[in-house]
Amino acid sequence: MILQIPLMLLLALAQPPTPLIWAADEEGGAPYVYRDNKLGRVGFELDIINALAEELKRPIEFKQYAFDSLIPGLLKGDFDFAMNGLEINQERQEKIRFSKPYYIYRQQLVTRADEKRFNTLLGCKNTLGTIVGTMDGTQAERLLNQAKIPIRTYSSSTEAYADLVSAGRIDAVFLDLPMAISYALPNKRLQFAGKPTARGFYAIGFHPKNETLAKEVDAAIDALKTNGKLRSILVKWNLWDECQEELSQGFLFEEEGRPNAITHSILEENQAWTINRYLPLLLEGTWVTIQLTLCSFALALVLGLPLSLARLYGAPWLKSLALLYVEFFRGIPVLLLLFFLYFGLPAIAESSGLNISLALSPFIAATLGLGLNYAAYEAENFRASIQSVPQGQWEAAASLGMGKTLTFRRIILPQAMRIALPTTTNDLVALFKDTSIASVVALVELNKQYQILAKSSLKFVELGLITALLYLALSVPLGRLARALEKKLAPERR
Amino acid sequence: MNIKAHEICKTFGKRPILDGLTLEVPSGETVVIIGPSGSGKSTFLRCLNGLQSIDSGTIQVGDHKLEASNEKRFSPFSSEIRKVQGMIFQDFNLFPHMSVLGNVTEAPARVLKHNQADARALGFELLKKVGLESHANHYPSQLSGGQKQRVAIARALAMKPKVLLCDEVTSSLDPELKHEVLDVLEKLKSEGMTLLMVTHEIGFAKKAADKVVFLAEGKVVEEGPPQQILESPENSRIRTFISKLMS
Repeated sequence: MILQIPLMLLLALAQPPTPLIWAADEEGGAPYVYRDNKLGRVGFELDIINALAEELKRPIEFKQYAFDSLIPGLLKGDFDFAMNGLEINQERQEKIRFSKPYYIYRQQLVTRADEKRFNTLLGCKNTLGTIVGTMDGTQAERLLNQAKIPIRTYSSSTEAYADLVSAGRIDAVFLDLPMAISYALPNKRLQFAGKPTARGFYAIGFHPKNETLAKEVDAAIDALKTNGKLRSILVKWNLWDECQEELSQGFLFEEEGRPNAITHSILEENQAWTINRYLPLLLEGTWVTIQLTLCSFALALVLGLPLSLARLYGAPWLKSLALLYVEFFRGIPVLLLLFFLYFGLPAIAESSGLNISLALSPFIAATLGLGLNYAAYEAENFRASIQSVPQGQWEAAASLGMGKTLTFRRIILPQAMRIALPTTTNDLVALFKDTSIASVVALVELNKQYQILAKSSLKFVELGLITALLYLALSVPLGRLARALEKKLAPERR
Repeated sequence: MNIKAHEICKTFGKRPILDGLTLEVPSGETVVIIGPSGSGKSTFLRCLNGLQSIDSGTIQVGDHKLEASNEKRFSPFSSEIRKVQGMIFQDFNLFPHMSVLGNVTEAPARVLKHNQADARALGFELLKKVGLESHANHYPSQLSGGQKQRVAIARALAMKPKVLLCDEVTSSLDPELKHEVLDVLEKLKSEGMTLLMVTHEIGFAKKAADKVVFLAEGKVVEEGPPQQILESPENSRIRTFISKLMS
């Protein structure tokens, strides 16, 4: 043992120190860490990281990681620490080790500049039909939920503010002050409504077993506070305010060596995450999933049949048009289509000076996107099924003097539908599961509800199992129903 | 009602199928067409029924005429000639998703616009004629081949045709089931129906046919009373053909 220590020192001197891996989400938006057109990766957290690296005398490497997955990733050991505007709260503290805070955040309500109806959260709550945008898994979201204010959640602040300005789908955005400073302050069409509220702390997250590194970083943060580097970084990013003075008043955070969540986290919830609490929410999500499945599938069927008819019996130009539709919508990812319908259409309407608003609600956008996509599949399914009805059926009907339309409607279509049924039902089950994609357009269906709840409670496994059971409870009977239908119709086949 | 086909020509691609075929079926008579496979028998019946276009020649059934037409612009749904013709197919082509009664009543109800009660009454009457009124609510898949073909005949009769075109109607039936179909056809003949049949049932031809026509390479090789064609044909090909059928 004693001999080994000098040896290790020698090794350490011989090799450059191994870099620390820092995980954050560049897509979360400014000013934490994000991509700038000219400057590349920038952000006040990147500046703090650089200062920390200097202090620790170790290089720190950036690792892109989805914000939602930062804590699971940390626990899995994918990186050394997470720093991405992580708010200290009770659930997180039970899972991970937080460093000393490096920023005291508050929440800022932002409205459109012409908003006259309210300028506080309370006013917002009392104005009928208002929806407030925020981000998934943030303290702001929890506060809004606690206050029972209707919300719409986004995975980046950019999307939330964009939806407020151009699309007008939401009436306000409630998010951390740094985001408001980055996006809303420079935008003349937005205004700060009231004063920032609800303080809390940003801190770096470590694996609970990585106490050694956490202590080193705590010391480094203290050093940055003492030597004024932290302050100058925050000033540079326009984030310094009177609140931050408390950062250097060490005594606030010295209980048991780390911040006490109960003292600081104003929004801390005292309710436990029990099944009574989250099951109703999951069931609510399930209901949205069911509605979305039914509506988009109805659209797919209603569009699919005429498309298949155009493909089979249309004039040449109509045939090519239908083929183009099928190839196009089969060829592009649904995710892209949803993004375009939700975020792209309002932008088009605005830039082309159209007076109509193309801001679709999340449900309509998701229904349209999934419906248009599945219509292409159903069109092909119907076409193949219609073609597989034997030619003799056409001839028999023709020889009885039945016309083309009558023959199709009475003889061919009913048989084709029976042939199409197994594929159609399979597609319905597939669509049912594909509805989870709708979470990207801020629609809170089952999968999204799971993500939201799991992020707030960090009960990924427990909630995941319940969510899976809810999906299965619907998809398995659906599959059974399909087989039963097939059997029921089978004796009529020749 | 009589059938007159004059100088019918029909090619598939470059292959001639009907090559100047001329044939007459007097009203109320039964004419049987025999011939080797590929001789154009089925194509001829399909052309008569307007399911296929003809390149040249004329077809006349009663007062209804069919002219030569361009194959690409031809629609099998536009022919008026079917008002007086029924057609029975080798593989029945019953509508599998409809009951036996539904198969029979579909065309009278939808094309002739009979009301439901009339169509049902007609359906039962015709099913009785072919001996299947007890199977009215069965589906085609529940029937034997012979029963299916009898339903197909009832279905064709529902449109009150004057002429029945039968395209190898017993070819896909087991031997013991053939007679039940042929019996129905004989009964129809006795009621004055004009029958034009493509068949290999030599026994039936001898018994019921007024005329037998031997077809080869899309042309009539020889025609005449059954005894003459089937027992002492002038053309040696017919003798070889018939001896092969009998063996």
